[in-house]
Amino acid sequence: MEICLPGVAAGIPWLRRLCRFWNGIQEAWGKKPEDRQPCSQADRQELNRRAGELLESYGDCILRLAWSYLHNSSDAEEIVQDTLIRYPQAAPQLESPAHEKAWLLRVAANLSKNRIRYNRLRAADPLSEELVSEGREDLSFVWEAVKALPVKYREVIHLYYQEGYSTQEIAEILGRSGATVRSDLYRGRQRLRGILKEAYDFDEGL
Amino acid sequence: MTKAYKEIMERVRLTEEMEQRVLMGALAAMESSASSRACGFRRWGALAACLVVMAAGALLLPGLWSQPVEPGPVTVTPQMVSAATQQELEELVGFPVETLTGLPFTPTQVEYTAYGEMAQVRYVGEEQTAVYRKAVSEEDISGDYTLYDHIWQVERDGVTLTLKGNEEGCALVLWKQGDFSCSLRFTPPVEETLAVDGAMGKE
Repeated sequence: MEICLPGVAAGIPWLRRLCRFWNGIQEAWGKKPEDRQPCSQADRQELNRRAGELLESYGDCILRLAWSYLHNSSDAEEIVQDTLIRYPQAAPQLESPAHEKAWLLRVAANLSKNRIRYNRLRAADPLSEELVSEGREDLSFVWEAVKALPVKYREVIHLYYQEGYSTQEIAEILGRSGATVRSDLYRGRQRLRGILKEAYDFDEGL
Repeated sequence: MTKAYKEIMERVRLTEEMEQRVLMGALAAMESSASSRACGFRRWGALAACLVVMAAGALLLPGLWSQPVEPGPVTVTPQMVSAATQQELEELVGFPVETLTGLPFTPTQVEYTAYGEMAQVRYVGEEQTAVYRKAVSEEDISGDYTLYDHIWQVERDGVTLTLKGNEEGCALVLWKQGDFSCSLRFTPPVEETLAVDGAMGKE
C-alpha cells in the first residue's frame, strides 16, 4: 500500500521525517514495495524475522558489550532493544556481516555511554552476585577489577579480550584513533595488572 | 586474562524470555512510530481539509457545491531503491543530486540509492569510500552514530561546514544547502582540507 500525505501535511518536515523513518524500517528489513502496508501481518512477520536474525547472530555480543558498560541485565537488555530500533532508522551501509556486527556494536557502545552520561543506571550487578554465590572468587576478582576501570579503558578491554578485535578494528568501532586505542589498552592492562598483580598473565602482546 | 574474562562473559547471554521482550519492545517501538505517522496523517489531513474547505468557501462559494470533491494533492512516499544512474536517482528523490568532483581519491565504482526522500551516492575507491547523502531536512542525515572526539566548523564559499573526526582526521562533514541537509562520510578519515574539498567540489 502506498503511503500518501496531503499537500499541506507533505510540507511539514517532521511528518516527512516520520514517513522516511517508516520507509527506513521497511528498507532496512528488506521489504518489497508491493508489501508496504504499515503494521500489516506481513510487515510484522518480516520485521520479526529480520530482527530475530539480528538477535540470533549478534544478540549476545551486543548484550555483553552493554553489560560491560552498565553491569546489569535490565539496562543491557534495553540497550539491545534500542540498538535494534536504531538499525532501520539509520539505514547503515554495510558491506559484510563483520561490518554489520561492528556497526551494531558501535551503536550499542554509544547508547550505553549515553546512559552512563545521564546516570540512568541500576545499582544491582547480578553477575557479581552470581560469581560470589558460586564461590568463583577468582572470576569475581577479575570482574570487579575490570568494572573499576574508567569507561574508555573498559570498552577497549572488552572488545579486545571478549570480541577478539584488533586495536585498529576497535578504533573504527569506537571512532577513535588506533594510537589512542593502543594507549588505552596499554593503560587499562597496566591498571588491571596493578589490581590483579600476579594472579593472571598479562604478557600478551598488543 | 582472556580466559577469565571470556568465562565471565559466557554467563551473559540472551535468554529466550529476554529475546522475546527485546523483539516485542523493538517491534512495538517501530510500529508506534508508524502509528504516530498515521495519526499525524489523519490529524494534519483533517486540518488540511478544513483549510481547503474554508478557503474554497470564501473564494468560490457559488461554484463549490457544483464541483466534485477531488482528493487532495498527494505525495507518494517513494520506495527506497537502487538507481542505475545519477539521473535516475534524481528522478526518484525529486531534486538535483550533485556529482562530487573533489574527492581525495578516484572512485572505481559509484552506487546510487534513494532512501525515501534521501539521496545517497556511495563512491568506492581502491581503499577508500565516501558516502554522500542529501535530503530536505534540518537534521543530521548521515546515519553515523559515532561519538567523535573532535567536532569543529569551517567556512568555505559562504557555507558553514561541521566536521567530525578523530586524531586520524575528518570522518564526517555536515552542511546545509538551502532547504537540504547534506553529509559526506569518509572511510578512512581524511585531512580537513581534503574533506572540505570533497564536500564542496561539485558539478
